[in-house]
Parts: sequence; C-alpha cells; structure tokens
Amino acid sequence: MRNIKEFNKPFKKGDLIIYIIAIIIVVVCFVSVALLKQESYQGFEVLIDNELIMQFDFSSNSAKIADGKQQCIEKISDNKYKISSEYGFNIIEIDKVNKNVSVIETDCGFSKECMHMSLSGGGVIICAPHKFTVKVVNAVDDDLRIGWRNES
Amino acid sequence: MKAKRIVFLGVLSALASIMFLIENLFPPLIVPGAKLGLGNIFVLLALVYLGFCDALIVVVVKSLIAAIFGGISTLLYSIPASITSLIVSFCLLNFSKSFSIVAISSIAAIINNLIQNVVFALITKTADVLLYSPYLALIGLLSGIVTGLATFYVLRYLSTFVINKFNLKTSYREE
Repeated sequence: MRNIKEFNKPFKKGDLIIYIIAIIIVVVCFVSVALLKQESYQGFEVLIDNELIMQFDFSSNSAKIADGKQQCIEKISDNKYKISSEYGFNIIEIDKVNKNVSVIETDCGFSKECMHMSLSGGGVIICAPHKFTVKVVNAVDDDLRIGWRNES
Repeated sequence: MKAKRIVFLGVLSALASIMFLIENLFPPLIVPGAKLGLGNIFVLLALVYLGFCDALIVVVVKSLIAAIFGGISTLLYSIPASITSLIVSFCLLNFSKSFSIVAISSIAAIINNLIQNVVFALITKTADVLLYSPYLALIGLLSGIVTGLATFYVLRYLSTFVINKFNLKTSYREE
C-alpha cells in the first residue's frame, strides 16, 4: 500500500544520492569519450552494410569510390553525392571548409535521425534502416588506393 | 472495479502513445534520437497508481505503437531500454521511501538513453555511436527531471479524483 504523502515533495533527502550517481555517470561518459574521440581527421568514409563505398579526403578534396561500387554513387553537384543501395538512398553534402558532412535528404522511415547527425558533433553518422554509416578516417592509406577510381 | 482499472490502463497507454507520436513531429534535442520522453509521465503514473505489471503493459503498448510508425527495428532498442529503466524505477520506488519521483525519473531516463545507445551500437556494429553517450546521458538527466516534475504535479492534483473515480485502492491508498 502506497501513501499519498510519499509523493508530496519534489525533493527528498535520498534524492541527493541519485543525483550524485547521475552526475558521476554523465562525467564518466564525457571523460571516456574525450579520451577516445579523434580530434583531428583527414577525411571520411562511407559504408553500407559495413562495406566500404567511398572515401573522401578533405586536404586534397578528392573522392575515391571503391571498385565495383560505382553504381551506388551519383554525383549531384560539386559537394553533393547521392548514395543509394538496396535499402534506400541518402544524399550527403560535404562542407569542405568546416570538414563536415551532413545528410540532407533520405527516404528512410519516420524520424530521419541521420539528418541531425554530423561529423563534427559525434564523429559518425548512422542511418540504421539503410545500414548506412559515415565515419571519420585519420589518414587515407596509400595502399588502399589500389582499385580506387579518383574523382575530384 | 476491474473494468475501471482496465479503462484507466487503456487511457494511460493511449496517452503515452500519443505523446510519443507528437514528440516525434519535433526535431530531436541537440543530439540525434534525444527526446523529452513525455510519454513516460504515463508510465510512471501507471507504476504509482497500478503497479509494475500494469506499467509494463503501458511500456509495451507504447513501444508497439511506436514500431508501427517508426519501423519494427525500433522495437529492438526501445524495449530492452524501457523495460530496464522501468525495473530500476520500480525498485527505487518500492524498496525505499527516501526517493522522490523526480529523482527516480531522472535516473531512469539516463539508464534508458544509455542502454538504447549501447543496443544501437551493437545492432549497427559501430562503436562510434557511443560518442554520443555523454550528451544522451546529460539530456536524459534534464529530460528526466522535466518528466519527473510533470508526474509529480499530476500525482499531486489528480490523486484524490483518480482514486475515487477508478477505485484504485488496491495498490494506492489515500490517508
């Protein structure tokens, strides 16, 4: 049996413990992420279903498309690419000055979370229904360029 | 008496689902996926007025209706997170009387956000999503306080009326 008087205060003594635990959780998350986050990045890569589709290098402003994946990518304008797959499409816009990427259009479900993600904010953009991922890469390894088509 | 209880449960489930749908019309708060979680007001009300099993029903109904609109995949990360935070708030509410509903709501919101984040990382196999976790935890804390305060005021002003109207004396009693 609960008593109505138990709920007559918005703050009780025991709350302090909960708030302290909550603040510790938040601080631990911030510290661990600050240690893990890549502060400087050279470019980004796009993956669908964990398969590499394209890489982009900010310093040379060049896009490289993985072998056999040309049909997935359609260049709309200088800094806009449409990446489509069996799951659907996402249009990304590259901000070369701020080294950032954002999804400006997609045909996925209801909330379109990916359109609110950015590389500078979290280091990764994910569209779960399309298995679409954009993440930062530090340096583009020269060996990886074999089999890549340059498109700058 | 039992019918009235079911009616009350249905009203809470409907309100929780509608809140969820209305919230989805607005852009997320700063971080993707972050929401105020106003639907949880009704989950907490079900937990206080009715009990754990009834609150669980509200959570499941809310998640199912969310899945109809947001896609089945949303069930995978909404169900584990919301059930865990429901269990945590049930334990805090029942095993100690020294916690207010506001604090319980805030810790439940943090746990809910972090578990959703981890499950999302596991499903999409990208650890990088965890980079959003500090912002999600912070937003969880703040949104939990907001929903907790809303629940507090609903409990304060609705109690007598609801108890008399719906005969909810089995798990909740006024003195």
